[in-house]
Amino acid sequence: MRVLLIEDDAALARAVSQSLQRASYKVDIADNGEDAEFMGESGEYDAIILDLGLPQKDGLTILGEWRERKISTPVLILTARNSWRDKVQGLRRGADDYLAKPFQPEELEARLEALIRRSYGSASSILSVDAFEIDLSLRSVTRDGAPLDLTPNEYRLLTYLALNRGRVVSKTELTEHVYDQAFNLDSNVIEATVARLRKKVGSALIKTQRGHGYVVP
Amino acid sequence: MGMWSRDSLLVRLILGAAIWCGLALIVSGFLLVSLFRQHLESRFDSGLGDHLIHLVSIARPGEDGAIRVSGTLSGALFNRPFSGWAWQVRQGELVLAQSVSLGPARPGVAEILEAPLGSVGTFDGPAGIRSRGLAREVRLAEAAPPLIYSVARPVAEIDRALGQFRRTVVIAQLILGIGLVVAVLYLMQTSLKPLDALRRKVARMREGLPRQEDRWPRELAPVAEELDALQDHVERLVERGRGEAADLAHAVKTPLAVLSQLSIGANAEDAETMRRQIDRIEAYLNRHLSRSRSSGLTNQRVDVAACVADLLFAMQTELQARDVAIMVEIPAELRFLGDESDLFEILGNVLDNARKWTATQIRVTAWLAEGGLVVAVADDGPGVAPEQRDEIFARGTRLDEATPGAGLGLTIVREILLLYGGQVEISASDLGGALLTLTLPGLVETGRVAHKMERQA
Repeated sequence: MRVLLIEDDAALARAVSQSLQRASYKVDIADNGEDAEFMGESGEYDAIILDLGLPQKDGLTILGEWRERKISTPVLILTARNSWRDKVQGLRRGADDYLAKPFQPEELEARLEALIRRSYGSASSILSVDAFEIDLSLRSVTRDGAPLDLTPNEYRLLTYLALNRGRVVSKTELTEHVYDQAFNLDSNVIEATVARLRKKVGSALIKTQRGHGYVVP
Repeated sequence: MGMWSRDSLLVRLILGAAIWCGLALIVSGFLLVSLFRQHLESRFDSGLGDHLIHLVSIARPGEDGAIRVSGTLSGALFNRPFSGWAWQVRQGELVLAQSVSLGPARPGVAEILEAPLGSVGTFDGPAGIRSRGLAREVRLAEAAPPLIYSVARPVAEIDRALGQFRRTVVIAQLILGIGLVVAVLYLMQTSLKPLDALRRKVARMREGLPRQEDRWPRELAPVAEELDALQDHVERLVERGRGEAADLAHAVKTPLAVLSQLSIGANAEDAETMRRQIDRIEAYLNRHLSRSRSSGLTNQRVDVAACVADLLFAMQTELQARDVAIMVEIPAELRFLGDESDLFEILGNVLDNARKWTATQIRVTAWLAEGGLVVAVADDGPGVAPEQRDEIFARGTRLDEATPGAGLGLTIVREILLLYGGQVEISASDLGGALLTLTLPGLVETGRVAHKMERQA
């Protein structure tokens, strides 16, 4: 899962990005309004965490512009402004959730997970695929109740395919949602990860659509 | 009672005026009476002089030495015995003739009328009547011995007239005095009225009502101007203080968020301690933020139904996920008289409380009662036991430590309500859970009602 973190305070951005990475998210950081707007427009993110008080461009303005351009990436506003009016204003402007600073890392992760899950139309935090169960809040995968040991990349890859169940996901799209932006990968890396994952979960779970990508049927 | 206390300006002025007027009236009364006495005496005395001259002209000695009286002195009382009106003609100690009032002028029997010679004086006349009289020695012929003519009238005449005059003066002065006091009272109350207006102005300032353009008497205009300037100054200070408090609180929150993230790296016990401390700081900040935000000013009209709709929209994700049924009955014309963000804060916290505790339904109703705008929020959660109902509004109390949130919501609600002179009560709702009833300043916007009705027609 790939998240855009928009936060102008470097220390907080670093701390949040670390805790999100531990929770196996891929995190990109924008520290000013203009970069943030541009990066958010790419539509590559599963969720955006948006601070309101930003240099160059205010968070609410950016959000309004995204929504006007039909960019529907779920947005969680993370701000020091905690009045109910601010909250209503943010949500009316098109945010999907609102969290006031300071906040517990677990709280942010739980909200983020729920946000992403909802954007894929899933009400439960547990995805069931055949004998597999992916618990999004615990970030664990079990087969017939037995836990599987997956690396963060493998987990993200599996979860993304499971959330997009039935849809063929291209290697490019997978790369975007699974790996850090910093990685400049070719498709071999994805293929290698899929191969390792298949060894753990069995080859039946992930099907290859040659020339198109992968799908969890 | 307050008006008549010793500290009252009015009482001081009335007392002062009464004492001064009383003194002036008493002195002028005495002066008037004494002047009138002088006038009476001089008239009396000139009358005596006239009588004496007349007497000399009508009572003359004949060839035989006896006095012949040709005619009478004007004044019937000269002829009434013991009237005190008397005249006498004598030669040395020998009474030759006298008025009827003194009896027959028999030698040896007739008393001498001892009026002072030459000038008017007071003396004891015949029959002990206190009299005022005049005597003159008249020598009618060279050789003849001098005759003493004397005239007298009772002093009581003057005293009677003076007494009457004195009574009149006292009554007149009393009426005048009372009139003066009444006039002072009226004037004082009229001129103190602007002070009352000034008091109302200060009260309006305190209540945060918009300033009114009043016309002040010249003496009070500088005070009113100073008050306006003071209010502006205080407002600037408060505004700056609010801004600084809000800036400070917001500025602290980001570093606090960083610390909060770091708690992940600590061991469980340290992380818990850290979390609690951060919670405390946050609760403190939120409380002060909410205080610095709320103004208590009642000069805006806020749509209650729209505010509730906005807040429920903000909570809809969770309410829908938990399948909570929401019932809202709020007239569209209902307005809260106050600051919009204050209403959001009040209703936001109350609705959030209901959201936390409800099982399946929340009902929000609002109406206009005599005491103002009433908002009632009912849920079917566990409710609050009667003995815990006061506690729930106490500073920072959280009845259930396991429920997320700093537990300050309802404390903040009550604090903002206090600014508006409103109140909040907690009781049992017919849905089975808690019922929070808020009372706030409000009104029904009648213009809109009329408009709506026209449209419907």
